[in-house]
Formats: sequence, structure tokens, C-alpha cells
Amino acid sequence: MNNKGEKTDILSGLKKSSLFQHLSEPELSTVSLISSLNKFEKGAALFSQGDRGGDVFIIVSGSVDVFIHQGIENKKKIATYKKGDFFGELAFFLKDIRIGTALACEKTTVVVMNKKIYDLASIFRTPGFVDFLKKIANRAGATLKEISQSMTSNKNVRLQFLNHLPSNSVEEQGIERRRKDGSNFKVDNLKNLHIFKRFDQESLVKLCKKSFKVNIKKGEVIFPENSIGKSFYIIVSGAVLIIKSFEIDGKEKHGKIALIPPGRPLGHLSFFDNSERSATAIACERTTLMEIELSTYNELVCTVSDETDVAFELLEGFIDDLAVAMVNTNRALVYASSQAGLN
Amino acid sequence: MCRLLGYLGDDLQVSALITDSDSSLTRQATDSSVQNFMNVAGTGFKAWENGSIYEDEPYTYKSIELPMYDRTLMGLTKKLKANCVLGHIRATVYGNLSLVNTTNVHPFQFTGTKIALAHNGGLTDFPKMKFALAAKCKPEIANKVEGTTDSEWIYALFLSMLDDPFANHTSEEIANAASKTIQEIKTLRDQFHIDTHSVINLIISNGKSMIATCFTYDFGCYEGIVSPAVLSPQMHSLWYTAGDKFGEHDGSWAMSDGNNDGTSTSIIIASEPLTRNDSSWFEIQKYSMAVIDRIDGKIKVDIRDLGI
Repeated sequence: MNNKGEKTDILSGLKKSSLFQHLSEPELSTVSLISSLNKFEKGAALFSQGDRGGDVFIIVSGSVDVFIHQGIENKKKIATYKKGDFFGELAFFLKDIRIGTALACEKTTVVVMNKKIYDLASIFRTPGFVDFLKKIANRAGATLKEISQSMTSNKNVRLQFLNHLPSNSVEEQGIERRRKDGSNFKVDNLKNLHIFKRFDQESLVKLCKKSFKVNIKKGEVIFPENSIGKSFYIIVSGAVLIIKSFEIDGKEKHGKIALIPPGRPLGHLSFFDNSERSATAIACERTTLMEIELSTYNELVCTVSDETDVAFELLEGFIDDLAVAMVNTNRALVYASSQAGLN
Repeated sequence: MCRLLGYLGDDLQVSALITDSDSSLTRQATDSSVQNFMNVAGTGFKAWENGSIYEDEPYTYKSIELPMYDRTLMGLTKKLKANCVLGHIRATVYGNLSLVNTTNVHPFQFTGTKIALAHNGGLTDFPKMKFALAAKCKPEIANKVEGTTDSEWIYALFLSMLDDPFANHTSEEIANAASKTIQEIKTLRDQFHIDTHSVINLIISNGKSMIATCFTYDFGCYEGIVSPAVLSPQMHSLWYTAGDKFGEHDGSWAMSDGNNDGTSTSIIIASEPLTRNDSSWFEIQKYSMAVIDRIDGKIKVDIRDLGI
């Protein structure tokens, strides 16, 4: 338990972080109960690559560099964090394993939040905590996009390519014309999909009523890279290939970077940060999607009602999925890199 | 789902692959890292050893004993060394519709042929297409089918795609026949309006090269309630690791690093990584085929898009 002076410092540190800008005083006070104030001398390690731990750090003063070790001797700096920044949250998505080493660049003070913060958010489910989780998911989504990007920017990485990418997408042609009533989904079947594992029957019925059923033919592009999406999707049946386009020797190539099976979301990464789609999605089999408009989702989150829970459960499903996607994409990158040595 | 394993490389004690490593083939029978049900409907392997008597013919083992109690298997694999191994643990639906006998145990290799095949997966509604598939097989091959599995018929069709099923074949010829087999089955599925998730992961070998397919027809498509196999692609994945020597190094099972020039002398391909630390295992993409050769002692892997 922290003393009164330390608690004041912790609260002050939490308030300065963008992570908690929408939390009320009582909510911040609750977060402070699972937080501590730690001081590090220049060069001290806050955590090391390979350590187990899920704490999240907010810098109150000073700065921290994060390195990734490549072999015993070499280390590469991947980020510098300064006053007000947060870091360490990626471990939550990677089974509590640190993927880098954090070293204090100078005398540094940090608020260390126990990983129970995620449980708190899950228990309270207020818009402030929804915002917190969206920010955590946003950072994880950005990391995922960076990993995908590195698959297409490194010449040593060998991808498989799609021979032809159709120019028109279902979204561009007007997905509205394809929509059927989401109430037609069989709830008994949806309950088996990973993303809905937190949902009860009633919540799923509510979600179905807010959604649309969209059937996609094999080979159709659902949305293209760099487009702005107004919806995100859950794959109910079929499968979707994620494609990134780039140039090699002046020729445009369409590299396959992931295959998404039923039960996984699609188009949700740009939902967290309102950015452009980072890749193209193409149905590699005949596919049925559950479509949820972003406006509908935001309405669900902001309206304090029974339906807020539906939106929150979906957000938690996205976060679970980010953990799976992070591990899979990282593996895909390692795999693609490995191909250079074997041919 | 069944578990598959292939090895091509330097001499290796077969028990390292079949019984001893962290997630050896027989450990996957009851303690798979990616699925919750048991694969105890038969254990089989083929092992080729350079320099042995009749070196083109593999040592063959097939049994429906529970592998964790199979002393014959443990004793044999401990004594055997091989340059190429093809192993399989069979899974089948629990119940009285399944026939568990040695005839149905993989890998399959008909008398007089040089190539063996093991399969993970299953063709949905196979009885609908079975006779049409048999009609596509060469009669001298179809006559050799003894068991009741779709896998043995896939093997018969594969052999029938070769000009001379009894001759020696290059990896390229084997790869072409495997690709044609997958295409022929797709045509049959279309003909009989079969359009749900069906996995055809194959490992095929003649002791000198190895072909592995990682392919699913109508991936993710199902009728009614979705099954765990559809939702969990890791149950029908294929992984490989390449290096110098597979074994226990400093108390941990691993494939030791390849040579300084980045080449490897040995490769393992399996349904799931055989080692607790899986960081040196790579997952083969779906809809792909790996064509693996060992030329001048070096492993060459060509991953091809099946594009079907």
C-alpha cells in the first residue's frame, strides 16, 4: 500500500498520461490502488527481453529506451519514451513475455501499473475504461501493422504472391446492396466462434440485431489497402487472405501476409485509430461476414445501457484476437525471412 | 486429427522423432499441443537407411497397439537409424463406424512401388465420390487398395497420376502427381457438389526426397454448426525446422543450427513442432506445397503455391 504523498504523485502521473484522459477521479483513484511509484538510475533496466511480466509503465520524469537484442552482442533501439508516455503493454498480448529490454536513459521515475488494470477495465466497463482499452488495442494494432510492413519492406523476406488482384472491392461497389438482416445468423453456431466466447445468448441476439449478414464470393476483394472503412467484420464462415501490395524491381506485387479463418475479426485495426486500411482483404473461399458499422459500435459504447456490455465484450474479443494475430504475424515474418536461406 | 512427420537428412536414431523428443509423434497421440482428443487408431512409420540391404526399400512398422505402451516400437526405433523417415499417428472418429486395424494405418506403400504417403485430414462426404475416384485410378493400382480409408484412395489416385507408378521418380514428378491429385479431387468435389472444409495434408517420400502439401478444400466453409477443426487451423498445420542434427542439446530437444554458410543438412516436417521451444520451427502457409530435396548433402526446400 502506498503512502499519501506517493499516492498523490501516482495520481498526478496517471492524469498526465493520455491512457487515462477519460477516466473520472474515482476511477483514477481505483487505478492508483494497483500502481506504485518506482525510481531508476541512469542505465538501470526496468525489464529485460525474455522476462515474464505484464506491468504497464507511465513515465513521470526522465526517459526510457527500449532495445531488442539480436544475438549476444548486438542490440537495436526500437523506441524512446518520455514524460507522459506509456509502454510495456505489449507483454499483455504476448503471454506476459517481454520482447525488448527497457533501460533508463537518465534518472527516471515511473508509475508502474499492475496488469490487474485489464481486469479493472473489464469489471467497470465505463466509457473511460473503454477508451483505455481502445488505446491499448490501438498501440498493439500499430505494432501489428509495423510487423506486416516489415514483411514487405525487407528484400530478404520471401512472400507468396497473388497473381491477380481484382480492382473493384465489395465496399467500393456499395456493401449496402449485399446486406441481409443480421438476425438471420444462428446464435447457437455463433457461440462457437472464438470472438464471441465471452457472449451469452442474450448478448449475441442483441449484437445480431445490430449487424448485417454479407455473403462474399470466392475471389472478391472485400476492401482494398489504404481505403477508409465504415464497418468492421467477423468472419462467420469461409476464409480471407490479407494482401499487401508493394513494388519489386518496378513491378507491383501482391504479397500474402495472413489467412484469417472463421471466428476472427477483419478490418478492426483501422477502427481503433480511424486510420486507412493497412492491407487488402480478399475472400479465398466463399465467405459469410457479420458486418458491424463503426457508427453503430460507437453508439453502443457511448450509450450507457445493457448494450454497452455487448460493445465491451466485442472490444475484449478484439483484444484477445490481437494477441493471436500478433503471435501469428510475427511467426509469418520469421517464416518468410527463413525462406531466403533454404533456396 | 492425425499427426504427420517427415525427416530427411543425416543418419538419425529414429526414436528421436518417434518416441523421445518433447512432442515426439507418439507423445502427440495423447498430449498434442494443438488438440484435445486422442490419436490412438494406429501408429506407423517408414524408415530408409542409406547403405542398408535393399536400401531403396524402407523398414516398415504398423501397429494398432497404444503407442505409449508399445515396447516393440520403443525397442525398434531405439536400434534403427535412418536418413529418411515418414511417420503417422492415426486419428479417427470415436465410435463403432470407425474401423481400427493395421490395414488402415499409414503410411501407405503398395507392393512394387517406390513411394509412400501419409495423410492428415479427411474428405467430407467421401462415400459420395469414392466410386468416381476409383474410376480415375489405374486398375492395377485400384486393385491394391485393401483398407477403408479415404487416405488410401488418395494414395491410389496419386500413384495413378504417375506415368509408371512402379518406377523411380524425381521430386518434380512426385510434386506434379501430388498437385494433379489435389486438382482431380477438386473436380470430383465439384461434380458431387461437395463444398465444405476438407483437409488434405500429405507427406510423400521415396526415401530421397519429400513432398508435403498443406491444403484445405473450401477452407472455413461448413453446414450447420461449425466444428473445432474448422475454427482451429493449427490442427491442420504443417511445420518444419532445418539444421544440422536433431537431438538433445544441453538438456533441450532442438535441431542444431545449420552450417555457417546458411545451409542445412537435415529437415523435419511435422503437424506440430517436436520441441518445447518452437522458435526455430516455421509454419508452412495454407494452399502450399513444400518440395524438399537433399543434394550433395544439403537440404533444398521449394515452397510452391498450389493455387487451386
